[in-house]
This record gives sequence, structure tokens and C-alpha cells, in this order.
Amino acid sequence: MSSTSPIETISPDVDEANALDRPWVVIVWNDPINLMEYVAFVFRKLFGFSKDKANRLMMEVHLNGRSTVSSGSREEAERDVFRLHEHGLWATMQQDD
Amino acid sequence: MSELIFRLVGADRWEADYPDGWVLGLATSLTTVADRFREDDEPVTVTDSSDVTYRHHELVAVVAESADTLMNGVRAQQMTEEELAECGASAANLSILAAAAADLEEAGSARHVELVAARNFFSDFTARMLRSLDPRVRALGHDTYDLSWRQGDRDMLKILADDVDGLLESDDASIVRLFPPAYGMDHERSAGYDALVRHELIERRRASLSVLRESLDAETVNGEQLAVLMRAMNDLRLVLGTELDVSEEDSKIRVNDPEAAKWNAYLRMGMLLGQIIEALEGDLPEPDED
Repeated sequence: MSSTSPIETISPDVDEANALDRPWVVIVWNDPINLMEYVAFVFRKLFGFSKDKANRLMMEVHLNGRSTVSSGSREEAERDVFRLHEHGLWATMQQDD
Repeated sequence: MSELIFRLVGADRWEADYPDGWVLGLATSLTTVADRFREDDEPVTVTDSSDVTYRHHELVAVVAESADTLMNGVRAQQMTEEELAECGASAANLSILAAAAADLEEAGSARHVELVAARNFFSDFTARMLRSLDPRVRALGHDTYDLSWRQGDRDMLKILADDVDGLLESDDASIVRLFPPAYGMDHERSAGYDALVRHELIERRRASLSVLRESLDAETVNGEQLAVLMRAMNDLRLVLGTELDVSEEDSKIRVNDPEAAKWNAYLRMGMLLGQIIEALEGDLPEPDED
């Protein structure tokens, strides 16, 4: 996959109460080394996606440089990020806009 | 039939099962790539899988030649191993050419998407053919997988596993992909997260490297072991790829490259990893809908 570095910044929590309500999203970024079939396989294995959905998200990563693969509470997002890192994917989490 | 499969049907006689629509996909992919190089604009130099460099004006002829070899192979009912390998080399060239053509287009444009699809078509063909000719990982059923590493594979994996194990607790630049910043550019939160989980991530990676090392002398493994082995092999490939500064998927090997041995190990691991994924894919549940 061609190279794109994570360049997203996280906006400051201006409104704490509001910020607490917003879900966290987990983003997988494009990287030049992981095989496309590996990325799709990991999506299926970790998130139980169908082959079609996993391939769609993988192509999103490949062509758009990133794809959102899960969302939820901060704890859930951290757990997903951990599992993706364990599998060698470049994943980050941030609060949904 | 939904998958392209190559089968050995007699002494040095190979036969392929082409899925529905596959030949049409081949024709479309060939046209997409040929059309792009027929347009004479930016100069482009492409190095193919045999280390030959072509200038832009030569590319139309190279595409046509590779297309002929590939189409003749597909039209033939059966092929010898040598003919099949020639088809594979042509498909490998076409995937490099399609990737080079895609690079000329704006990312995400319709043309770019078509050329990336053509690249994927040709690299899938190459990978499947290589796996048929050189099977190293096979699903035997009953949660059992057959491993038949070459001695060269064992030596390579053992050395790399030891190297990476030794680096896990360092701050060496080559392991950066094993520990991405969880909160992206929010450095403070990323550092906090890292402080909490790095130890656990290191331990898991170390454990997976042990499974990999143990498997080198085993004839079979179960699905769980193979999945762990897959992670370990991907880690080794990530470290090697970082050391080689891989910047695109279709990296070109150059003659007399002092890093040639590393490149060969990197490509070989990509091939083995593909076989592991293919073997494990059959066991993943397929949900009815998302």
C-alpha cells in the first residue's frame, strides 16, 4: 500500500460535557508494507466482518489513506487499537467530530 | 467457481480453473494498462521483475508482449511448469506496469481506481501461480496445517526472529511500526497509552516469535498456532520493510543492490505470509450480512 502518514490532529476538548458524549473512532492508516490481503484478513478476524466488507474497508485504506473500522467508548477503542497494533496495523483513535 | 486454481494433472502438465468472468477481467485489465501507456505524456521509467529498465515509448510494446504470453497461456488447455512460470513472470511485469501507470494518475480518480484494480488482478494471478508451484503451507482439515519450509526459509526465519527479539526493548528506528502512537498526533495521550501497554505488546510479540521458532521444526501446527505464526512473520516483515525503507508495494529490486539478500527475504516472507493467510481464510466464519 502506498505511503500516507497519519496527519490528523485531535481538537481540544472545549466542551467537556459534550466531549464525553462523542464516541471514539478507530482509524486504520495506509502503510507501504502490510499486504492488502493481510489487512483484509485482520479486519475479518478481529471484527468478524464479511469478506466483502473487509475488502471494501481495506480498499478504502489503500485508496483514501485511511478508514474508520470501529467506534465506541474510549475503553472499547483502546482495546481495538491494542489488537490492531498487536497485528502490526497502523491504527489510531480519536473522538468523532 | 469463484477462485483461480492451478492443478497438476499429469507429469509436468498444469491445468487452470478460471472462475466466471475471469477472462473478461483479464482482457479489461490488459486494455486499461495498454491504453494508459499509449498516451504519450510524462516520461516514465519502469524496472521489471527481471531488472530490465524500459523508457516510456518502449512500454506499449512490453505490455503487448506480456499480454500475448499471458493470453496464449490462458488459451492453452494445459501448460508445462516452465510455460506456467512464464505466464507468472508476464503477470508480475504487468502488475508492476499497472502500478507505475496508476502512479501517473491522481489518487482516487476513476482512472487511478481502474489501474489499481488491474494491478491487483495481475498480482493476484502471480501470487496464486507461485503458491501452486511452491506450496509451503496447506490446510489439511481437522484444524491441522501442513508446513514444509525450505531449509533456506528456516534459516532466514530463525535469524530474523532472533534479531527482532533482540530489538523489541530497544528504541531502534526499525521497530517503529510495531508500536504506533495510539492517539496519533496527541503526543501526550499517545505516550500515556504507550507507558501502559508497551510491556504487554512486547511480551505478546516475544511469545509469537517463540511459536514461530518452535514451528520451524514441526511438520504440522493447529489453526491457533498458525495464526500466531502469521503475526510473528508479519512483524519480521514490518521490521525488514522499515529497514529497507519500503515506500510502495511494488518495490523494484536493482542489480548489484547490496541489500539484495534482504530484499529477497522480504519478498519471500510476503509469499509465505500469503500462503498462511490463504490457508487460514477458509476457517473464518462468513456472516450473512454486515
